[in-house]
Amino acid sequence: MTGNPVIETLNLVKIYARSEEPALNGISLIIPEGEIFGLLGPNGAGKTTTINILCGILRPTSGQVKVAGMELNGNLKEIKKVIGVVPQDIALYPTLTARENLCFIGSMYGLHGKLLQSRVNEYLTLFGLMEFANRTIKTYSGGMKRRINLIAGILNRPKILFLDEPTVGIDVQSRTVIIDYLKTLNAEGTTIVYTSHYMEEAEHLCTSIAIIDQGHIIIQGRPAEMIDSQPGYANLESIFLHLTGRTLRDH
Amino acid sequence: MHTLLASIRKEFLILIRDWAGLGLIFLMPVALVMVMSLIQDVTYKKLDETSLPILFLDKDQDELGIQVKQGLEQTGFFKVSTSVGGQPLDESTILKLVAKGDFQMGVVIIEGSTDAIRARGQYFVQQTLLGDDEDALPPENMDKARIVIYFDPAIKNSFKITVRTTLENFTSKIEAGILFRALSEEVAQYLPEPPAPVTDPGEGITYQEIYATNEHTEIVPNSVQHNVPAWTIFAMFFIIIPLTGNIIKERENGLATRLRIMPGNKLQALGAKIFIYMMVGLVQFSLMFMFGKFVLPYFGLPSLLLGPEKIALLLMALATALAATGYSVLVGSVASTHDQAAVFGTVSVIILAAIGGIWVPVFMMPDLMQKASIISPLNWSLSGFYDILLRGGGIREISDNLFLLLAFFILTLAAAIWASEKGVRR
Repeated sequence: MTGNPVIETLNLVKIYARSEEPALNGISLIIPEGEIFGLLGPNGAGKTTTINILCGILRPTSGQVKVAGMELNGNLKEIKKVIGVVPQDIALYPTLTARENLCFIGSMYGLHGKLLQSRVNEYLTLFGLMEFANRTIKTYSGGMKRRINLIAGILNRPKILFLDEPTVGIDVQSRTVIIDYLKTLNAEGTTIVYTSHYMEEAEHLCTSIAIIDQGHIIIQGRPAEMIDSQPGYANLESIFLHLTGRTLRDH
Repeated sequence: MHTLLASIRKEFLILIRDWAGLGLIFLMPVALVMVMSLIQDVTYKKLDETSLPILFLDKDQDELGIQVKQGLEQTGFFKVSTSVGGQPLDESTILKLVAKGDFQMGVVIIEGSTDAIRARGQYFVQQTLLGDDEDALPPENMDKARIVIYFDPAIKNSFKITVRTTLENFTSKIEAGILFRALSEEVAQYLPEPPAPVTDPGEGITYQEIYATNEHTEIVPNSVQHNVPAWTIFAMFFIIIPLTGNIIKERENGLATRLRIMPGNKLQALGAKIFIYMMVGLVQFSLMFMFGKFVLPYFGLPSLLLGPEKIALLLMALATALAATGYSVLVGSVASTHDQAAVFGTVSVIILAAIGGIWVPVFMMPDLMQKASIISPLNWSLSGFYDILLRGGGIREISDNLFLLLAFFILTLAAAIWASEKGVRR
């Protein structure tokens, strides 16, 4: 453990309406401050459900959740101010320019005037998008959209950043820029909670990992320790397949 | 406040970049007002402002034939032709030309019709004075006065009835005149001295048409006074297409989720949409009414008269815009897909417009539909606008309509918020 816990869940259960099987079945997690925490699992394992509960998008059926030291229930407004979320979807207005999208999102976090403009310019420059700032999002490539999607999640300089598959479907260059930036952000003190299907990426990026399947955490720990503890498996991907099986998960 | 202004700015930018949506909410209603006003203009004009070409054959060649022809010409409703291509008409030619649809109707005054009317007059006098005397037997030709009207089979029944009523109206006057003169002549034979000549001092019963408005008698019902408010309301409710599209796209793109993640109040995001589309409704209202006032006269239509109750008009427009926005937000919140919202939204607005009297006035509908019209918010709005524009009403007269529209807005909005919260989607 590198710091105080910023996320704590205890026996988290989520059962969706009209569903017999629980999506989460007793998830207990402690994520210390300053971690890059990877939540890995096959499709339908419960990764996005967990992230959505931690961000306040979904209500758990039962269980306790603390984010940034605050109980989720009753403190959502305060929690929203200190977290950032990069959803799996490109959640941007396609007919607005990158600058217009970011200015709107920044305004929602209480930024305005020169501070907002300078923050937007800073990130557009950092992610190599300044010259395209006044182009509408619908004209962007997949990688450019992913980068703007990431900027939208960090404009408020969050203490905790949730990323749901932030590098899915993009080129190597864009992925490298995003991963490098996440490392920088973490070095500056931001706790990152991240889901991915890319095991190699997670193995190198994350300081701590939990593999989740069918609503349960089946293993949790530091990647290197996890590999050491599973003799005969050379990397995270082989451990993942060993633990979750090779059966296709179509949901 | 910054967050609300940012949301409003964002909604405004999205709206002005949606060219198809803008065309739908601004150009379509202008086209509708123009087309519908031009089409319906003739039905609101007086009969003498149009003339229908008809064929006329006078086989009577006497008082009835001459006066019917004069009467038809004097109505101004008909352009009477007694020959076609320089050739005089006969009954079979009239039948052929009307059957082909070259003319919508032909009138034939049957031979001996005037004599038949006169014979009736004479018989009445003889019957009165001679009683059962054998000289008072009815003459054979007494029932032979006849006018034959040939109608184009494609003609509408309502038009046929109108024409026939018009003809009957003045032929009965002619018949009365002939009968009266025949009676006078017949009575004179039985008097020792010829009676003094009788003159008709007036026209008998005359009709005076007055529109029952409150005070503002300068407002005359016409196609523009009816169509501009009707199609403006229809257009205001047609924001359902862009607004539901906006809501559903936001949901499909994950933007609705992003809005939920951010600290801004969720109602603020909804409030921004309502504000923008309410403003769209007011702009539609202003444009359409200006179009009616300043542009339609260039197309030969009357100018829209707004009357003195401008504040009442504005309040009516505002309440209508809010009702339309509330309904659109509800449909957008309940529908799962854009297609679902577009089809349901369009069809429901058309149905509400139809039962609300936008296309056909409510008083012309069957009883059942007249009762159904009271559930349509388009009807509440239309009758409010008619109260102001046609009946000279003000805020007091439209207060019920305003209340209904605002209540509808609040209820639909509450239902939309509830549906979004509960994820009630088909």
